Amino acid sequence: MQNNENDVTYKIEKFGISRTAWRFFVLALFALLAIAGLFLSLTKGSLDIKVEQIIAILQSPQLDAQSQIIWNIRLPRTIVGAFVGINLAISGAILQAVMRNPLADPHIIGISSGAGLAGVTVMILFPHMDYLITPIAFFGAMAAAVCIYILAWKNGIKPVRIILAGVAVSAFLGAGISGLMIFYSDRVHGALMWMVGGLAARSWPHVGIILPYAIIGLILALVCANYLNILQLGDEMARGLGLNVEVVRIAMTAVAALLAASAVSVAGLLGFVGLIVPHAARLLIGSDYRFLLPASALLGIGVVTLSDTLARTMFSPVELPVGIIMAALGAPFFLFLLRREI
Amino acid sequence: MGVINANNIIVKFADKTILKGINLEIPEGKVTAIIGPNGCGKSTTLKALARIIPCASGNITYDGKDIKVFSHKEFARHLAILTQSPQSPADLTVKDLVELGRFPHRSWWKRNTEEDEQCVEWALKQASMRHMRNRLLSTLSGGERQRAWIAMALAQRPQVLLLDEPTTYLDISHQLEVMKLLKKLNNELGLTVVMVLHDINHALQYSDHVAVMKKGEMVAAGEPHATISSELLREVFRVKVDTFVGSNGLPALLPVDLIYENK
Amino acid sequence: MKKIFIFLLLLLQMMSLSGCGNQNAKEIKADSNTFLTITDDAGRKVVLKNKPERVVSLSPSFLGMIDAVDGKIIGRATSKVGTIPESMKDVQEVGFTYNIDVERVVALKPDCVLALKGQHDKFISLLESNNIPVIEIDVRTYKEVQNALKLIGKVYGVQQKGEQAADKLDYEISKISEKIPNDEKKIVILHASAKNVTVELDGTIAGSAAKLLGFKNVAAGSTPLSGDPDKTPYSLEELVKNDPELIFITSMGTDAAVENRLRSDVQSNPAWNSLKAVRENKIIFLPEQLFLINPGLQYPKAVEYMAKAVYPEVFSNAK
Repeated sequence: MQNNENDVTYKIEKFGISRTAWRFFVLALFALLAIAGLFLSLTKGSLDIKVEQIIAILQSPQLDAQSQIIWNIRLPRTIVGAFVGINLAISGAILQAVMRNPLADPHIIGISSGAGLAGVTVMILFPHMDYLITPIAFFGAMAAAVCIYILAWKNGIKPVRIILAGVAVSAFLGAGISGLMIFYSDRVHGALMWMVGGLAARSWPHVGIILPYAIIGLILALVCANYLNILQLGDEMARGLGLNVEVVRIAMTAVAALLAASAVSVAGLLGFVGLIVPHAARLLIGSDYRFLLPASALLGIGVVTLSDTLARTMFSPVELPVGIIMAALGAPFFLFLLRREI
Repeated sequence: MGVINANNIIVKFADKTILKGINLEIPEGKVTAIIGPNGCGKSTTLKALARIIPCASGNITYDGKDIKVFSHKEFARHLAILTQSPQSPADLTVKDLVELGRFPHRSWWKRNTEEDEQCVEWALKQASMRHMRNRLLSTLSGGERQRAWIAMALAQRPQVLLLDEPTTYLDISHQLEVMKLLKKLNNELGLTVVMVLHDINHALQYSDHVAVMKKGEMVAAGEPHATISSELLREVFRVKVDTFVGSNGLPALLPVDLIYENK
Repeated sequence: MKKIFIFLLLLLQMMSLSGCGNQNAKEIKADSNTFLTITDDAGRKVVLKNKPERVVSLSPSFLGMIDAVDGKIIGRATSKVGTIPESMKDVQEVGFTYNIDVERVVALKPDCVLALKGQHDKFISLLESNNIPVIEIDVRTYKEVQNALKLIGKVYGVQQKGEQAADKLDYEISKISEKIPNDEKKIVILHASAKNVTVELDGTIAGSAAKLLGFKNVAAGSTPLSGDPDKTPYSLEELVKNDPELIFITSMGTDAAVENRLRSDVQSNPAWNSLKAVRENKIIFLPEQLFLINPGLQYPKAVEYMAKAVYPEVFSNAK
């Protein structure tokens, strides 16, 4: 115990600033990224519309093509994209704490497969009930989550069992989806696009669908940041600190399922956001959930809106589904981040 | 009547009975050591006392009340436990960890209060970790890390502190460091300490009361020097020992040979 | 050591070359007295030694065309939609066109198999190794249907009938297209649901029909994403910019329920309402039987359906 260690302030070696300052800096960075994403999403497209024009249109919309595009297409699409980013990123962050597994994300624990099978079933077997896809996908997601919990329950729930049950349920439901697509391969096309995840033709009705869940989920998640921090000490220590581990785990998983299901039912099976975004945020901002949750949310906005803008404009007028862009850009970016840390 | 009383508790795990009806009395304000051979159920007993694993039958009382009536947080305000090799995220600092110890005292909507801050400072001081408050847990030595965890447990302001093999992975000097800290906390704060130990000498030198277990049953309990006799060691641990008194005036023993079962 | 190695290498090379050489020899020998040598729609050169008497059709789209040249088949793909000519109804079935049971096909001992280009590629080498010639045919666009008719006519040794059938199609279609005004309406053809903006290009049935009627497909000329060269996800903004007068939707269900649902789905979505055609309810549904499944000989019917839907006045007056 050397005496010259009095009041050693924690430093991040390369940057020489305090940890809290660094964390707020990263949050500001992500916020900037989010703003950039929103900005580009609104201004770029088939018609590049300048900011001043956008503001004018927002104040007094006309009936010309530009106003139509901004009001009915780009603005709601951007908003939906932002919420989808927030929901999926926070859902993934929560699941990684609750499952204590860095590979946890809504896809792995079967939520997305539940939504996927329900949605594809409607699309292929009951195409005349197309309007029901959103609520049915939601229902499917929650049903899958419930199934997984029941399967994993054995005198309480251990994270490993949930992951295993989730993988099993995912595989089973995935086989169902593939089976449907083979037996009805003439009707597959619409389902395929939905499975990759995209924001085409998303408008105000979809904003209405995702908004309430996004708000509820966000509030719950931010309030429970401390619970998630305690969970990271392991089940036994968490119990010792007075946390009701079973109840918290179930409740937080439900919140994550709610967030993910609402995003999936609006944008389809958009993968990658729930897994990589919270990880990337964690690498920069650390594992304190009071910072990690807002960071994941902001980064989620930026990633989804920027990717969607790119998807829309890269091969104009052909429009890629945003899921493809995110997978292509995100994986190498994450690898890059990982290498730097190691 | 001890501060904690376990009455005939049976604990099962996957159809196997680990604790076959344990009776245990933890005296208030004293240091109690639970010892026994591997697999005898020491850790299980400790965890049952801390209410982090359930009992199939039997009951445990704290301060005369059944522990089941306490709410989770309330119980954590009375009793703190430190498990073996606890995990923590890689970027946790000592202060972060100790702050987590205030969880049982905080309502979920409140932020860190003045009281919380003071408590954290106090806990750090008790464990002599104040000067390391901003160090990453992962950069500390074994003994320092154990002291940090003890500081966290102290931040809970418990009356009882339970520790599961607190010295098992530490070297000699760090082991003594931790034992002396626990003894000091017991002396100065009147903290009741219950620890599961592997090292019988530690039990002899640092505890006021000892409980010996074998194969899920309580075999003996009482004052350490009287209870840990050569016969007990032969019966329970199957070792032959030399006993002596150390230069600090306390009893100690040296294992000299194994005792094999007579065919 | 090295010398032996080089020698072996040369030997191997010679053997493989001679293998090729022998094959060429076989082909050349075959040319001299064959029934028919043609290049099919996949660019493959197919040789039919004798006039085929045992033909198997792997797609229901060919049946009408085969019937038009009075051809006979011994095996056909199972099909739930579309009409099957009387004479072919009881013929042995070999599984759905997207799930052919190749063993059954081979068991029938055919001397010619008509396959759908792109769909049945994986069976070709298997069938050919059993000495069964395979002719790949494409029947999506109108031109391809005409070529297919002529090809099938040749295969059955009745080239005249094939050409006549093709000409008849031309005649029927021109009868329809000359009735309608030549106003080059701007149109777009959407596929499936309101959740996606997938647009059909000229190569689809609807696209071909629209082209024959002189409509201008606003999406024509875009490079499609590979995988499906006839459909491509399209920017809704771009559509608004191009402002089509008419929207066709090819849907997957066939009944009025689907149609009504889709219509209200599209109309209740503000994004779609940016299109003038949606606001003015200029949306026309194209039924599955004529526009999703290759119509083959029914092409004129498809064209007629489209024409009637766009210009109802013209056709109600005519009769």
